[in-house]
Amino acid sequence: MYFDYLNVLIFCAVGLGFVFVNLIIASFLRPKRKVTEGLETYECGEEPIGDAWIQFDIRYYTVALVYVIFAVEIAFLFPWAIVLGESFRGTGAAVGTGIGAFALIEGIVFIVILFLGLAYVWAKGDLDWVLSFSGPAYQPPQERARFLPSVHELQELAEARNDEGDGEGDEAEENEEAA
Amino acid sequence: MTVPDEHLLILAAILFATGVAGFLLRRNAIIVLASIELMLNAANLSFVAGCRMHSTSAAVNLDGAIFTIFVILVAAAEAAVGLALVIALYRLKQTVHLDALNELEG
Amino acid sequence: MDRYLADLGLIAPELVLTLLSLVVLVWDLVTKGRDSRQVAYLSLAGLGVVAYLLLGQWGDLAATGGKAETVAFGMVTIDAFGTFFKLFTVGSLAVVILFVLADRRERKHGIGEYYFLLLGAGIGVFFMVSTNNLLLLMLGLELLSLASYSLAGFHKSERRSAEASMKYVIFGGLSAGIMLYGISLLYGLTGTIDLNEMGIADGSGWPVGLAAQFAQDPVPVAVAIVLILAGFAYKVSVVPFHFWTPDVYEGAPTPVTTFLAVASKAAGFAVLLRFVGALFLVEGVDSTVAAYGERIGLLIAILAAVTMTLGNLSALRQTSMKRMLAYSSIAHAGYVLMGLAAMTPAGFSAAMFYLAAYYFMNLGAFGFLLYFEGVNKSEDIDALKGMGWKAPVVSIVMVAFLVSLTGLPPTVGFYGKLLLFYEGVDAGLGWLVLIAALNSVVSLFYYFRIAKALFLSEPAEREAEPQPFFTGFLALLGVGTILFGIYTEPLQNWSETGTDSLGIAEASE
Repeated sequence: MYFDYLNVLIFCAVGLGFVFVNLIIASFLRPKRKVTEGLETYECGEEPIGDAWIQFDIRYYTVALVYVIFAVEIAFLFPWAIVLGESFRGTGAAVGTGIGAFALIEGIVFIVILFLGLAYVWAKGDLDWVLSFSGPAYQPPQERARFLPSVHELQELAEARNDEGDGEGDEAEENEEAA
Repeated sequence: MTVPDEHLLILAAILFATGVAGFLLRRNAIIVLASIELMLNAANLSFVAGCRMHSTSAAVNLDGAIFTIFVILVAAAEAAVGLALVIALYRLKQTVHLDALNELEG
Repeated sequence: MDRYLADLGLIAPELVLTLLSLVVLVWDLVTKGRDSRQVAYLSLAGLGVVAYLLLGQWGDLAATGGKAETVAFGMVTIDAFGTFFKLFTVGSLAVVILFVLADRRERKHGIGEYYFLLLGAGIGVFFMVSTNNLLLLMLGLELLSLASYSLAGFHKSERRSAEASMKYVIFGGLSAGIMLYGISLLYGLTGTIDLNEMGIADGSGWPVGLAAQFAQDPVPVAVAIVLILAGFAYKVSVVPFHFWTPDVYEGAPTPVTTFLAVASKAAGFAVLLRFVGALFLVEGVDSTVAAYGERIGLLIAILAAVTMTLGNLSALRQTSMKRMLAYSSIAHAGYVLMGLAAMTPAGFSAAMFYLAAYYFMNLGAFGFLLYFEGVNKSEDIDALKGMGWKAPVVSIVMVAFLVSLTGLPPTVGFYGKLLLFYEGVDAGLGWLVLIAALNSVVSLFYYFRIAKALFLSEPAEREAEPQPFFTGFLALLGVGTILFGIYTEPLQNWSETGTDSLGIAEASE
């Protein structure tokens, strides 16, 4: 009975193989130059924050957020399109329900509302790439500090970064002024 | 060569339990949101399993399948609102750690 | 085609509300949020239209004694029960919008999205209270939740608001996950997502009724139902799903807190009543199912006792009035649960009556809180000291709300509690009624603290700037609280008509 899962096993094997084979091929093909920038994590051309296992730059979530919503709406259009097609062709379950024209209008209304959402996001400027977040640094209350090891760590990390690269801070200020 | 329905339900239960455990044990806001997604996806899997159990070749019971699409939508919307708030919180506190939520207590 | 158009006519109030919310969004976008007051007035006008349509619908439904029920698109049940809650929702939405207009801090923030989100939450409530279909119920509930999350964190640059919202999202997500998993199990067991079919299906082929499932193996069904109830319990903040309530209520902007405490909570109760009613009390229900229904009733009774006790005891030691009202709203959830625990039509209608009373007195109490937040710039009860002499009308009206919240005559809260107690005793829950009565005595202490701060101390030195519009408005709510407490007939008739439309019957023993 467990042989039934052979498909799944093959799927996993191909998936894993794809990753490692590509890495191995890449290791043969890529030029080997020892530059420090080359060792940094690649994050879409942005400077990475911390370790990739712990935390990504929070700005990516803004994009992810808008993308996720609109991507999911597509899932509704497939069943709708199928029912609509069947209804107009006169086949399938939609026959005799007379849903065709009504469903067409309904779908259009749905899409119009979606576009309203997109227009809203656009008009509010949320499609622009935010260059920096400004805000007062978080100061953890001292009496509760014992529960907050990671907050401190992150705090120190942020401070260390600020001390290191003053140029970065200036850049952020310039951007604020420009905005 | 088909997967029995029970296996789907067991997998769904395991996913759900993983989600609950992640919710209770992790303190990173994003991981907690991911755990919630896991729970919703467990529900999805269980809906699909139910859909298959109740369908015959003659009559298809689509309720579960339709429900799944809507749950995906809800999950996405919930994630969007959750992530938006994580960003707002990060701006204020420079952290996404849930233990930093300590200003309302009493 | 004609059939669908006719169905569209049935859900006209929902359609108008949806259209209104879109117009509000676009209007705000086009005018670039220059004057959000216009948006507020537009919303109020639109809500007026919705209320008019709902009243027409109510008239038609009540004329048939509440028995009539039409189903639009096989999903939206138009009945007196749903319309009852929709009418109160529209009312409380209008009140909340007036609160936003009156909130002095809100003017600075004045943004049209506030109204859009409020109306969106309203759409969610409309659909969730008027459906027997778990899919639509879930969607309505989630629409309400998502709008509430955003509203709670509306002042996202304020730490308390952002934090409240984050907590709300996280606990809300958990409860949504639990509820959906429960629904998926219930669907897997019965093969339908329609509550009516679950309650009455006979067990040959699908849908399989609950009766057959209970007879075969009660554990999975019970687990599924308890999981779903947990999701609803979160919405109405029943212990042990109440953690979020005080924090979110305190951190959210006060008009939003009002919405959450009143409209959102009542909608949660509406769903709870409909769900339990359709599964366990529907006419001609199988005796096995009814027997399990009684166990669920006992579970609810225990939760009710714990909820009201915990809410009241925690409220006792609060210094912030906002937080105190949050705990008091938990306690009130416990009282309403008594009506549900009775598991009788009369108990349900008592719960509906109490919810109606709850709309009046809590809208009033939160309005008072908002008024003095503007005056004192503080939510502390101590800051109210002696202010009763400076703002006499508002303060006297507040005393009326407090009397009603405690459950003393001659107010609507008193009669509501009386009904709940009566039905509780009638259903053999004497112990629960005793606990509730003791709790009411406890609540007297903390409600009285506000009255004491207002009137039983030296007049304050600060002056309260008169706000005639706000004052008059609160006075109107106060008059309603007392008037409906004396003439209880209409409200009682309405809630009975609403219960009748659920088609539930006394358990035959």
